[in-house]
Amino acid sequence: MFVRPRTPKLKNDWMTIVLKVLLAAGIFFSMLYFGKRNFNSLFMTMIDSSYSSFMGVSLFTYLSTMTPTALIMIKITFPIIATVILFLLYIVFAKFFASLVFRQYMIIGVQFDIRRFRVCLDSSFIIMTVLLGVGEIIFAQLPLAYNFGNIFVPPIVALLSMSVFFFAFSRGLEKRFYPILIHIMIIPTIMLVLFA
Amino acid sequence: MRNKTFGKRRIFTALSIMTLLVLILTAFVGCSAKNVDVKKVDGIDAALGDKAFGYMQTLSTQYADRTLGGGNDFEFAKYLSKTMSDWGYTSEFSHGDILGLQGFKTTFSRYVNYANEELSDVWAYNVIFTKHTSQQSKGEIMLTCQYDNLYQEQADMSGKPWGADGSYESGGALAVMLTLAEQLKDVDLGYDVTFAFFTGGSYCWRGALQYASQLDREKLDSIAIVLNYSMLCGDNLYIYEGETKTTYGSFLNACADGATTKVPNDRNIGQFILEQDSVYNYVNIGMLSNQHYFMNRYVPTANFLSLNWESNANPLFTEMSGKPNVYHTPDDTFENMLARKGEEGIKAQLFDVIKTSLTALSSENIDSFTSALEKAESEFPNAAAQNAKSASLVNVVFKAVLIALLIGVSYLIKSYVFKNSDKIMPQKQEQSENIEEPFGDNMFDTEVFGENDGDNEDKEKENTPFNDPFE
Repeated sequence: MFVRPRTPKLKNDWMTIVLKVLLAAGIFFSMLYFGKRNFNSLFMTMIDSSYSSFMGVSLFTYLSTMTPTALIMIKITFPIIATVILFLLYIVFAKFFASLVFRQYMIIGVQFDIRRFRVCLDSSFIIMTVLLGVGEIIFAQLPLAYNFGNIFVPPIVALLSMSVFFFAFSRGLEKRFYPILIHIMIIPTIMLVLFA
Repeated sequence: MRNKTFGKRRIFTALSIMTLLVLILTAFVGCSAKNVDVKKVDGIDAALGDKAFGYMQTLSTQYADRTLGGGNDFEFAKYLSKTMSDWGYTSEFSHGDILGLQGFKTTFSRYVNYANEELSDVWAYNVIFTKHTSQQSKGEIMLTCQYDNLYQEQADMSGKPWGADGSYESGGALAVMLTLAEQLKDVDLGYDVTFAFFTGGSYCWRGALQYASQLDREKLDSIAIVLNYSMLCGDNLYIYEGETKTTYGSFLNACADGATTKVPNDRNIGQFILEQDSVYNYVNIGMLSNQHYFMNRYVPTANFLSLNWESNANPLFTEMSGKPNVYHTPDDTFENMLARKGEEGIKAQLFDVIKTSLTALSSENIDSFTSALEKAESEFPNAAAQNAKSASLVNVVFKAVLIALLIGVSYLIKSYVFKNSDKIMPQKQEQSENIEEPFGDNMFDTEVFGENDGDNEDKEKENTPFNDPFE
């Protein structure tokens, strides 16, 4: 009988929960500033009245006459929705990454600790989201630099975050296994670079 | 000892990454202070503010309906034509027997009778008048504004026309332009001075687009600057010169003598373009007016506009702090302007705009203005460095290179591991005997994959020192 081991499941404790909350906050922080630029594409509704009429209501008039509270709600609601979607995607990504590492570790005979894995990954992603948010704030001050800045910064930050993960997660691992760990990390890193 | 070396390496790597990030961020910053010399001009009277206010009031009563394709825009164009002709301005344009009208047909839609109604081949009229210099012309200075409004727009649940006379959108700017035209009618600055009253401002500034797109390169190059007047009578006055600092922008701000507010760095930005081959691949409220189409053709431009750019209360822009916006709404009326800003406030701001323009276009300062404008070409942004096409290309190339590098690293590691499998996995042979349970029985949850599984391929794969994720 051939049995296939399952990737262990994470049992949450206070630390992993705190990290998840921090990660969600980090995603929200970066989305708050990233969304600003795209949300402002509603400028389209003002430049040509033809665009703004919708079912008998001028969208631009509606936006112009919204109360400050309603405007704040809009500005916060959009990033919250984006945060929920991205957080769920992150969970899928983390599970996929964990299964890659677990299967490879199983073959080379190294013990895999899912809690340690998630603590390292969550922490490196918190760093990444905060840096992306800070990047957005900086580039909001440099509109001309935005195009190219935002081309280079997110992939570099993604690589930086994976490096942080490697340094943290490889502690205690025998050095001869380093190349194998790096090799496992290639596909998740490519995914991050693509979508960053 | 080895730990120390490893620690140093970590610090070195971290510092390298930080330096790289700082270099990328600072590479784009090229702002520098511009030195300009502006002389005080006597005789610019505060009564000009009153005169402009009078024009604004007249426009809101006698020519409240200036809607494109609505019929009365033609009447207003005729009024402008007569006024400019009476002041001695001439024009190379005419429509029928009306001097100064550049007629063209356009198509757009407007919400009328509870539906978006397409208005096809509607006649629209730009009003263009010039005062030619008697000297050797140093070029052309264009003063531009939008004159139409959304008086007949019906995008409202009631289905009634808005009746908005557009005092904020175009009324204030028109009043300033008429006052300036009256003041400059006898002034010879060595430049041809053109007053362009564009239509279609409520529909993507299509009058300005029509005018700018029919100019050839030689004609465009002869335009020294386009001074555009857009939304006026908001909280603060700004002169938007583009996304880079220019000497002529500093000069104009110096002419304002403290009446203008510095354009904030953090400008709300909309990620779209108005026409192909735009200089910038985004817009902000300062860009959005007639001068946009000249800016895209590398003509120096400055846009006078009034709002509260520092406020982020509205996601797009805020006209006046703590008050709802009126631009492109039924509330854009002269009465609302008075209620929001007050008569004295309106007069003061209109005067500030007039004073700034007349100071720049005075015999005392025209030479300094000319010197500032001569530097404009070298101060244009490097389009290749930030336009949408090159940014998209660099994005694709940069990510492709990174991914190729990562795949390369992967193959290098793979060959290294295979070559050194004895060092990495010295107990490989022993392990292969017992591959099914490398960590013991209780280490992981397990699922039954299949009884008497005779598939040796899987076992062989798991026998290798590591699993290639690309296979």
